[in-house]
Amino acid sequence: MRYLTIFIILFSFVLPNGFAQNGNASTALEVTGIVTDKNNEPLIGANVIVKDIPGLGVITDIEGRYKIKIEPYNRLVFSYLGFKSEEVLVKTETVINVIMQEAESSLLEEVVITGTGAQKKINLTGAVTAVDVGVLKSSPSASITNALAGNVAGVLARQTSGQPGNNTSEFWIRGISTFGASNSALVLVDGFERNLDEINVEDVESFQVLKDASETAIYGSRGANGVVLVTTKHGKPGKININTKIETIYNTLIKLPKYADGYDYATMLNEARITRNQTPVYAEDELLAIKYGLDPDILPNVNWQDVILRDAAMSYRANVNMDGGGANARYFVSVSYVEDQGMYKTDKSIEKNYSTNASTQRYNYRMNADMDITKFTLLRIGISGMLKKVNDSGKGTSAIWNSLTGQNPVQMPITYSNGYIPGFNVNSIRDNPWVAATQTGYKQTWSNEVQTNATLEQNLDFVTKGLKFIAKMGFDTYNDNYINKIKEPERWTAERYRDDNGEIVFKRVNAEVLMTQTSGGTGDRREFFETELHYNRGFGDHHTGTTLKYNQDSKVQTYNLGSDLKNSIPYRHQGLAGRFTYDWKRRYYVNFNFGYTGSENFEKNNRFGFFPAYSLAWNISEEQFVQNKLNWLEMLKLRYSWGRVGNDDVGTRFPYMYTISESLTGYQWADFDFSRSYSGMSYSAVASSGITWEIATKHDVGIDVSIFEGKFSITADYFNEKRTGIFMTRGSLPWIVGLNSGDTPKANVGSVLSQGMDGNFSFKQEIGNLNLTIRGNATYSKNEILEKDEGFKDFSYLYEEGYRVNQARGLIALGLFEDWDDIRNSPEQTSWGSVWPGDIKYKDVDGNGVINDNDKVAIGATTQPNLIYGLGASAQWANWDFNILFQGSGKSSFFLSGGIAHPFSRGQWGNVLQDVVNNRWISRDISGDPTTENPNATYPRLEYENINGNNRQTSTFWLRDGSYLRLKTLELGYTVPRNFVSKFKINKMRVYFIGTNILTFSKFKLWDPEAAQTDGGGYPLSKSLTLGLTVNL
Amino acid sequence: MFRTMNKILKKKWKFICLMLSFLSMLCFSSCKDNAENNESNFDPSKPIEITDFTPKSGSAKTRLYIYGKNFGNDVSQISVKIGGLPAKVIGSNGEIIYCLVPKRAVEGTIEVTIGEDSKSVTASEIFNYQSKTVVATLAGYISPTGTKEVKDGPFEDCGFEGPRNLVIDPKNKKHIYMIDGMGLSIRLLDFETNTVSTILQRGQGNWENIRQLQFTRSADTMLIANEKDADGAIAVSLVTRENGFKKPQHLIYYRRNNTCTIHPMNGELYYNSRTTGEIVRYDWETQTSQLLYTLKNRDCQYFIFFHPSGNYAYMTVPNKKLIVKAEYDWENKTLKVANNFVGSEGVEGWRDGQGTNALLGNPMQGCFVKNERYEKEGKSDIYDFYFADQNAHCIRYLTPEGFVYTYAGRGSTGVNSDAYGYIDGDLLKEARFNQPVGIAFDEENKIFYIGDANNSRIRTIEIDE
Repeated sequence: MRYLTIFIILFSFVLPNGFAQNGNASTALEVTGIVTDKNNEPLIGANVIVKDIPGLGVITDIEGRYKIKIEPYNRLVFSYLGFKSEEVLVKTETVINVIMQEAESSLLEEVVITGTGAQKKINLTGAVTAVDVGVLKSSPSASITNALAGNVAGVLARQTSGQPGNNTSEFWIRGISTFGASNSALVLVDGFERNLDEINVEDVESFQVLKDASETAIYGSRGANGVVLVTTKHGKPGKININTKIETIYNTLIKLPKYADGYDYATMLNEARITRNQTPVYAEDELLAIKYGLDPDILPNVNWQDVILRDAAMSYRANVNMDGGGANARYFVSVSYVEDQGMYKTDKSIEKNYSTNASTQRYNYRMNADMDITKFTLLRIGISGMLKKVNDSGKGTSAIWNSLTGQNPVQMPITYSNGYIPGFNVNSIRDNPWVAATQTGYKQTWSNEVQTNATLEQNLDFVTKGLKFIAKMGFDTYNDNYINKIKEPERWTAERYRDDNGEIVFKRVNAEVLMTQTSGGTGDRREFFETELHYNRGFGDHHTGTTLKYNQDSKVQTYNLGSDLKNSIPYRHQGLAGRFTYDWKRRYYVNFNFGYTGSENFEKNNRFGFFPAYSLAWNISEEQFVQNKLNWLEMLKLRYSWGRVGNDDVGTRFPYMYTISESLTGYQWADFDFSRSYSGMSYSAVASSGITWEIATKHDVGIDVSIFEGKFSITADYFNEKRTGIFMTRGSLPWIVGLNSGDTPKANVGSVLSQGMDGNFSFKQEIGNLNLTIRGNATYSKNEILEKDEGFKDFSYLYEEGYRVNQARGLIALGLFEDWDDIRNSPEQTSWGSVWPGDIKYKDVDGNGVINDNDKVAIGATTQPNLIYGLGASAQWANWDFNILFQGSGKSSFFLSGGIAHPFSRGQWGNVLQDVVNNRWISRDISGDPTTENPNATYPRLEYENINGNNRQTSTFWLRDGSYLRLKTLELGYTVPRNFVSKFKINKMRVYFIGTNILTFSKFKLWDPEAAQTDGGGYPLSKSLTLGLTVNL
Repeated sequence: MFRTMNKILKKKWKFICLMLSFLSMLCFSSCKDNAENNESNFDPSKPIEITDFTPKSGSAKTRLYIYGKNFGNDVSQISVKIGGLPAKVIGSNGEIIYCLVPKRAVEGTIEVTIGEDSKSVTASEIFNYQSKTVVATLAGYISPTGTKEVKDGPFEDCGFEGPRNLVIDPKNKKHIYMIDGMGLSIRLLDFETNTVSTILQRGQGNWENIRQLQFTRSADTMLIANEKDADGAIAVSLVTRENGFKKPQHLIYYRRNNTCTIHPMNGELYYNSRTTGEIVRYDWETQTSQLLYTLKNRDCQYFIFFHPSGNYAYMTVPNKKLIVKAEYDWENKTLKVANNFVGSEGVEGWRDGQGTNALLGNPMQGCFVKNERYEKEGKSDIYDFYFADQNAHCIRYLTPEGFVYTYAGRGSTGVNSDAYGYIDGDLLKEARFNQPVGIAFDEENKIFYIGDANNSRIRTIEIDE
């Protein structure tokens, strides 16, 4: 309400002013002229506005001519994309011709936003990646996070699902460096902690990743995992500028696992049983019926993927934003719409009433208004909101994919020939996939966010030059709601054999459940307050800067709180931070940063902590001898930083408090008439006093080079970070202490060392009309657990200490047993049941002659990638532009698991990979051919059930390399010639085509490696073709 | 430069086209799948051919594949007769017909007819029909939705709650008396009229749970065991043939009786108490009961079955998962102390084997069946003991040496891993029961009658001819 009042007051000043100008048109001059570039070519569609008078402006026509009415002694501002703006004071002239100069984009002029405000890139001493927002726009994904991998140095990212509404990437700044509760970065949008997933990329003005301690120390106990800073666009003075964008995207799934058909499945099912001396499931003559599809009711052959999945799904994006304003007030307004449709087929008869297909729709809006209240006072108000609707089938996507991987082709038909719907395990996530996807109702979830910012910037130059005061307030609400409308059809199961008359014997599994609904939701509210005092001033060759910042925030759950009072206590942070910078002649830089921050989650004495950081830089290119002799060296800067940062997200609310609850089981205190049972009180959570945040001690060494006026530039950083005090459950406490596993005390005892490199380079070249840029980036990170509180283990290699966080572990496979002699002559391998020829043979690591859990060692890497790189090129030629990006990921591995890699491990639940059909070990007794007993086969002797058997242990046999290289983006754009579009009052119109994830190169061929879905289930990522149009009015 | 109006219009038109194409893209929906079956229709102008069939021999319900040409794939148009009897046609792809061999298709001729105009062709070879012992259904019905209805009437239109104990009338082998449900009523399977009728309801005898039926040596009196958890509860009642087995009289009162067994030679009556495990001998002459001993301890449910010779009795003990054996003391005309014979006490399971190696599910009613092989071998005991193993869902038998084998049930490994179900057919390969409880053997016709409780049906095991 207060903001609204201010708005109204301000507009009441601004608007009448504008009208007054128009009203006095009689005394106005009519100014005409031609706007050209330096080659005397007319500029079509250049903006000509009257300074400080919003809405008064024209654009040049196809000959570059303009005509505008103007009061004398006003300023005309000429602006054009890619050119420097020109200002001309109009006295009494009526013809003003302007020659505009092309804007030079110089590295030295680039500005980077940091935690304490904007800085010129040349003055940076810490490690910051400023992302070119343009490259993020080439991703057709609804979430900005999916554009990070391969585009942003210092970020490791992975997308794990393609499900609409759930298809965001996980990302880690400089990799994972803790095994504690949270390893995710702090994301600040317009200065406050906000959600990155749902932000509209067209609203983003700048995107920075703060990587080292000198940049993140001011966030104190929350900055250890790195910080992402996003700022949104603000209006620029001038005529209204309208940008529209429409994209239509055609998505197909990158790669689905290929399953064996019914006949192969049934044959292998029999083999799995026969080869282990069990009776077969299908008689030989039944296989014949499956093969020729002669009994689709009892011996069907269904390709469930074809039944459920569409060939392609569409996505749509639309965005309109406008900005403009005068010198007193400026605005930026944007509205966007995003729709992703899912891959599931729907039932035509139900479609009329509701959709069971997965889908998501999102609306974003944003309004940023800047008002100069006085000459020295700037007020910025920002309001943004988001509404997202997600639809899914009643059983849900996870059940659909579970059923799709699990439901074999021969167990049941889609529907029986009499129309009955089949079902076996109807209450679990193992269902008839067609039923799960189309017949179980639908679920709707929606989230909305409203975010408000108010910023007051008071320039205190009148007190002393370079002093500035800023106060910011924010108020956000988040709500998530769902309505599940669930129904179940009547389902039947047919007996395995027909009755004496050859008719099918049906048994009803469940009665029809009519549609019922459940609903619920969660919500929270966040409040932020921040004040900053800036003092920047140069004294001759000495430049100093001081920033002091106070901040506080709180977040409280607003509904669905339950009865636990703890739930309604807000999470609060409070902090004081500061930065002192000094440089001499822009050559030698010294920076000191600190954060003194606190979190209410910890005990009184452990709430506040001091986090210092310093950084040094030497800009060699500013030295006299370089300036004189090596003037092609535009920039050469060496940087070093050291600091401490914390991570207060321990995942436990008030860890210093204990919980006492009544135990469920009582004790019988009487010897007759069993009615004297009393239960006692016991600790369900033990207090862990002295708990506090993790501390990261970070070193960073970096170099920035730019030569030949920015033609070639490179930035590279080495980082070394030691995380100590990682919050963890004490694993070494023995059971004799008498605490249950759930209430074991916790402590800040873990430690992880992580180090790595990140960097990026770019190379720009003009060849005639062709503007070529090649850019690349890479991030590599490796960590090692230095300390972890673990229970006693027999061998040092069994501890997690000394290995990566989330290190993959398993047995070392030595191939398959060749024959019984091989088994007799190998170490005893009976820990997981008896072994047969064709089973996996393991290495006896501890050399005790027995293979068991003690032989499980660190193998492979982690499922999360430890290396991400991108290499891209872009070119402009005349009206054409072209952009290509290869993105790769490395140093990751995962295990194949589940039913499809271990055929029949869950009995007849689980499809079998087509790969197994061709590459497995087959006993000569079954195949009649000794060569099928191939000890180098990809899959061992088949086995029925025995889910924890010898072959199902994690081992190098099932380890797969998750690295890949993909052609992530291929973009071709055409800008329609200006002299044509200006006929329609259009400044610029571009049509473009983007291909995403078009090609993937990987050693792993069965499905897409990025998601690292170990069993091939789950909604795969998509390959997409985008056709887009942007119009700038 | 585009000065003329024409050109501007042209460009405008192109621009509009472009915009329209974008809009049309927005209205895209995914392609429909065009999966179509390869139609292979019957061509009346061409001859039907049978080239081969497999298998060449088999019994009823054998899956028969007939190979040939021009069958068409419309199953409703194809009729197959095997041995002159119609066979169920399940599928055809034009060149292979998949059908089931009907019962009693002894002649073995194979005749295929397509369509209305009854064009037919006969295979040159003969299918060799073999008969075998199978599980079949005599009477009873459950709808596919699981509802059942207790209903008297002809075998093909009657219903049971859940047939349990069965006893064949020694004087009229065409009458089988049975207990329906958890001791709810006594019903009669009459093979003279092929009907089911209800003789007595639970309330008519003031019973709570009718447990066992047994004829006395004269076969004119039927004893009825009742289980009720109360002191002085009705334990054994009797009805007489004279009264049409209609007017119950109470003979013995005891807490939680489960059995009423007559010694086949001396005729004395044995009953018991589930609560205490006591076994009691009743002497008809003195009309006195004599407590013999306690089997196991508290809560021991058991049923007693005498060997036809009277030399010993087996007692099936469902809740201890045992069959115990008690020798007969001919001198004192009483049962000796019983010893564990097969099964592992308290361990429910299904494992064939000898003695304690075997695991039993829930052994209920049993009957002695003469084994002709033993007779030829000159063994002293020529009877096997067949019993219904309720929780193992099968019919099993126990040899005199103490081996337990599965005789029928638990077949159809396949669709589900369940052991239970309702499937007729081959004893072990196909047939499934669902909690069989009662069993009786018609020695004359060599037919087993099974009270298949959860299937609410009377099943039979006989040679299919």
